[in-house]
Amino acid sequence: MASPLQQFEIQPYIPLEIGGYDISFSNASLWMSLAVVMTFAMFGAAMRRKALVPGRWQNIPEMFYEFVAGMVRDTVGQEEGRKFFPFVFTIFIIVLMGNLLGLVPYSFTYTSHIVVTGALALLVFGVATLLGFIRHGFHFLSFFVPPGVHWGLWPIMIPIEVMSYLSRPISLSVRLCANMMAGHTMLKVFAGFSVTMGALFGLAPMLLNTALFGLELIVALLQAYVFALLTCMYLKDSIELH
Amino acid sequence: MSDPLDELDRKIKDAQSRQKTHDDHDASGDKSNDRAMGMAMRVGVEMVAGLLVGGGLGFLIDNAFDTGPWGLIVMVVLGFCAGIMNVYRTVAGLGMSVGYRDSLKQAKDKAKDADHTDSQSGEQ
Repeated sequence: MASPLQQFEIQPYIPLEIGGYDISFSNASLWMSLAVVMTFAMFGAAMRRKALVPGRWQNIPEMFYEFVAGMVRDTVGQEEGRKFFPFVFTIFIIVLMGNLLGLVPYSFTYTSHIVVTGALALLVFGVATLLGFIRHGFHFLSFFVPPGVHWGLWPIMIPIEVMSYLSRPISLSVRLCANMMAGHTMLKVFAGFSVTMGALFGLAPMLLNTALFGLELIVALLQAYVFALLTCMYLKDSIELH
Repeated sequence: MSDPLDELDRKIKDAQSRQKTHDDHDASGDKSNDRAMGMAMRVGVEMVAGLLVGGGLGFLIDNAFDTGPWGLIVMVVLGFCAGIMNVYRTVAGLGMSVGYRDSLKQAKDKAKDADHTDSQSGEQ
């Protein structure tokens, strides 16, 4: 029987190599492209009619839009938030589509790879840091000096603050990747139980798997939400300092 | 003629106020639940991330300055502190980030924001 970790293997479909770099079109590329195509198809189809009273299909993108818009407004702020809405929305949709498409049987979950989530997290981290320096210049560095702390403690507190700042992209990427990987491995393990236990007793793991699938659906949505929410918070920190 | 209309008006208002309190209740319940769930997901990773950053920095420092195990030891301890501090901030609601934000000010901001965020109670 296949290993439960086999689903995470990268399989190059069209081998390509440019300048010593392997840029093969793999299953990861395929599902990322599918995510983009599906997003455009969904939003395009939904927005074609532009009804005042949304139909079923129009409702889905509007729900996403309002959800993210509300989140950005609440965390980053009314005025500032508007400028960053496209960024946060893109991040949210990428993660959400990756998580949800990964739940389709035989698919590949690109958000379960630390390379993908790490790149996303570094993008968020880079944008937030750059934004801080652009907005506040070197005053941004005062961010690492906790207010209300005696100066005698600064030699300890500043390295701790800097590390706490540097740990952001790591926790952001590891959280998403680990959640997706753990969930998908678990699904495969229970599916494996079903296969080995036969038609009669295999029913129990299958029922459990059905429930776990529901849980995975929640996790997929929640992780996309958490990723976007933390993106908002990091942006807010860079804008407001403290 | 006006009697049934008044009656209807009263009924609608009743239902609306009931719906509103229900929504408020629901929203707060959902939100705290959401937040608890989100927090549970954040906290564990936060600690490990601090440790990893500390270890990585310590390793780099040791490599660069040839300071034996001391860079690693000190930085891992500090990284662990950073992780714990991140967890504390997340849990205490001080904002989940570098720097303390006055929780009172945050609460005030939230109350202010609550005025223009009525429209998003239906999104989960």
